[in-house]
Amino acid sequence: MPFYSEKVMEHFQNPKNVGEIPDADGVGEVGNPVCVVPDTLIQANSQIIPIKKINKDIRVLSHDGHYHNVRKMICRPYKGDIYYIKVNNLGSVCVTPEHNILALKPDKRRRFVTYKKFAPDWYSAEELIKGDIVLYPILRETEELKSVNLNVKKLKWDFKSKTLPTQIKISNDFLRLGGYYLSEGYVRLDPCKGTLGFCFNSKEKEYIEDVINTINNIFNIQPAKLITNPKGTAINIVFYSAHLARFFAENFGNGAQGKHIPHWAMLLPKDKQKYLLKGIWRGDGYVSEKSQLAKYVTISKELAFQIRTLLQRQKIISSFLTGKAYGIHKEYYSLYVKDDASLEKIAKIMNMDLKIKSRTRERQKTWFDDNYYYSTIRKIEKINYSGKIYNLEVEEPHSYVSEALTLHNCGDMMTFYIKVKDNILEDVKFKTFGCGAAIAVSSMVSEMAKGKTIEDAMKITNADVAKELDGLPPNKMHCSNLGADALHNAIKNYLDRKKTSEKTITQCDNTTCCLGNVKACAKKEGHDGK
Amino acid sequence: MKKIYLDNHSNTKLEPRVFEAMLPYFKEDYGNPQSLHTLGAKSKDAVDKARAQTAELIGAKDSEIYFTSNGSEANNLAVKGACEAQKQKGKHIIVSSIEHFSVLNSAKRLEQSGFEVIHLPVDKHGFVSSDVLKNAVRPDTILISIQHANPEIGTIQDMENLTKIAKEKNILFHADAVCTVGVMPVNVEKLGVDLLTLSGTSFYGPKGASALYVKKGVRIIPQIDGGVQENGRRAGAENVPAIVGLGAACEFAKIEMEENNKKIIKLRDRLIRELPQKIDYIYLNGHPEARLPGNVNFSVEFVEGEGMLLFLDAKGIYITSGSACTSKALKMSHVLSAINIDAAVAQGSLTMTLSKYNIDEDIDYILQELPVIVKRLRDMSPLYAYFKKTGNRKEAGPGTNYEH
Repeated sequence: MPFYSEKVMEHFQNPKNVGEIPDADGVGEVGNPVCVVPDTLIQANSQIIPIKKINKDIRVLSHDGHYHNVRKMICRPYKGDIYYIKVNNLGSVCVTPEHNILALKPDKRRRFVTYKKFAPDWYSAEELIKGDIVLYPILRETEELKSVNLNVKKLKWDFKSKTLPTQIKISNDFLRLGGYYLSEGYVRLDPCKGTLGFCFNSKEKEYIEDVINTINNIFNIQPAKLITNPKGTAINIVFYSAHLARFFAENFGNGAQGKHIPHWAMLLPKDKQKYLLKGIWRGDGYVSEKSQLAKYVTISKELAFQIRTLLQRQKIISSFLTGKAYGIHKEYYSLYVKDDASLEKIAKIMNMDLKIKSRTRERQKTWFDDNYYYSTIRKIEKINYSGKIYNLEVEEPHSYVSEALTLHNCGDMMTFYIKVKDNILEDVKFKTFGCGAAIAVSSMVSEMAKGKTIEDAMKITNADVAKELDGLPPNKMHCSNLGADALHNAIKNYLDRKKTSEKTITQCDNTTCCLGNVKACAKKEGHDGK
Repeated sequence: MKKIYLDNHSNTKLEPRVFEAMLPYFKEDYGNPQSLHTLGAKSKDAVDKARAQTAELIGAKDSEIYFTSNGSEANNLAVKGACEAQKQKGKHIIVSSIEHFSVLNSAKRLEQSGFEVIHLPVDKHGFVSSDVLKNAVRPDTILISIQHANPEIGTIQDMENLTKIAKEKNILFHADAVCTVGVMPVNVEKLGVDLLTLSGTSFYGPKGASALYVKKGVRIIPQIDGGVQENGRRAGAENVPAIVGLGAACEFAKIEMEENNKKIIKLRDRLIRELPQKIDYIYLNGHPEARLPGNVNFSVEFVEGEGMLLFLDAKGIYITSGSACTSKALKMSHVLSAINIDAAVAQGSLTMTLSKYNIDEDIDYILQELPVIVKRLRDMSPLYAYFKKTGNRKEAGPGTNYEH
């Protein structure tokens, strides 16, 4: 049987309506159909950034574990199905059906015994099912920095701050101190009264002393005062040094929501990062022998993702949870470490003597090898989506990493021209760069649309076109079947030109329509959520 | 209608004399070579003769030739077999990034069982540089596998320089020579390889028989276990007719190769010279000189390969393309990607591989039809229209003009 149906070949060999309309009333284009929704978080420059904010100065993580330059950002309107994929211990992402994702399809029953025998490959989102394994690269880029420059200048009117060393050696102590700051520290940045402070529980004597000694050793500054709160439960260690405060704010961020790990620290060798983790965990984290659990809580999303990256490099499996926080803060992020091997590793980093009780083993959902973190898909569902979608073009090796998945960027291109008279599509013409299917689809769409009213033309779907062509090969269904989208874009362009207020396309332009809200958005817009 | 077959790197047309040689082993001498009776002995003699013919073609000893059912199997046997045999010695494997999938995926499989694989980059012509190889070699490297020539872009590696490095460090060297053996003179001694894959399908032999040359003294672990066929290294009853066919094809190749090549190279050079005269914005992929006799690979800008392929097909010209659209997985050819061709230009790739059956008139016909097809597709292409209007190239393939 030939690859294409007779109808496809007919429309391919003798396409109708090829060409341009110089004085067209509307022009619409479609290109690379592979995209994700605007608020998809992307691993970039050791931070996590929503895709819509990525620009060419930002380098993004690829599946080889290194950072690479972004060549191009792509944004286009989209209406149709997208896939919501939730991955155990990693998070979720929404992608268009043909988006390629690095994954492996193991034998369902013996997944954990057999996964090694299956080669990872790029699968389109719609090929994936619950239980498939996705690969997430472990950051491999390392750069051993011996010291950091004091990258903040002493302000002119700052007479009080003691002179600080111009080069600060990145020692284990300094990293631990940074960790303390990320969890418990704060700064006040008044020009000449700046303070750096750390708040600890009054029982945490060891940590309090550690902070005081370390700051004394590295910066030669003694605490100005130790304030105990009225209840006597907390101790606040205060250092008067506007200069030092600014140094910490510059490197580690300011304010509980703005804290982050500096880029240089994210790239340190993993043995050094243990000390940073130690400080961090001593602050807002705990390791409990009783409940056999280690947990870390923060309200900084960025910090939470960075710590997850650090843990991945230590081969510690953590699960990520977002919860509603009380008070002024909107959300908190917690990292749980539960499985025996990971717990043992984290106890070792913390110098704790933790007895691991052997429990009835939970079914393993996540594991490591040298390059990747493997995790199973927990849930995958189709959602009807309308709005902007984004994609990135990344230089070799052409991939980028979202919070939960490794995505491949991969092209057919169509341009439609329409001529409208009395609300009827009088003429439709197209130009297409693409395979046989893409050309046949364009030809068919133009034939179907000609003579129809705008409203009826908007009702033509890609599926209708494929049906009219007596079907398309499965792998071409999404890649090449874009004619209706291009036509709709042309009509939309025409309506925009007419500046009609009438909103023919339900478009969810709400930029806060993010991963979690896509469903809500879809419902709100009146689509059926499935 | 005309029928011009230009997909000879996928498979060649069977030589009628080879077919004649195979026939008795289908009809009369159908014994299993392992059987002791007369019919068995006849088959055994035929296999032995084919072995001698094959060995003769590449300058090897009879005992160094192991028949397999196809090139992929031979590559699997070479890569997996040699690595498994040496796993005590080291775990590091070097392959080039333009290898056939049977080598790449064998390496991938080994990676999963604890081996470490390095994919050597190639330059824009597809050459592996000896310096790059030298730097990639480690004390625990156990195997280097590099294609003698690439079927897609036709680039022939400077093997002697590469094998020299392996010899100095005492590392096994496997060459996938499926597209060179029988097509151009290959001598295993001269090349300096330890393992070499060859297949009759490249030089007018039948499907179903290929061979692996394993230098005397090199250990490989069998990948198919069973009886004592092929000296215990590849079990399974021999496909006698196909093996006889391979042997015959080897013998004819040895005699007629030079004559055929003279003709094929002339046709190839005509295509390479005259196509750019008839079509603008067309680029040759691979090296202009160090090239397989029959290989022509062009990228035609502003058009997509599958479109050209289908139109050519309708005209009775059979070619292939490295375009993503022609692959089932919709991925661009890994070879074009490795030589770093712009994704949009690679979409318009055309691979034409000639054989001894092609004649001058075929080339005339292609030179007459292809420009028409390209023009037709370009007239349809929004990218070409944009280029004609503005003189700039719209970033095609991945992307649209929607900016942030």
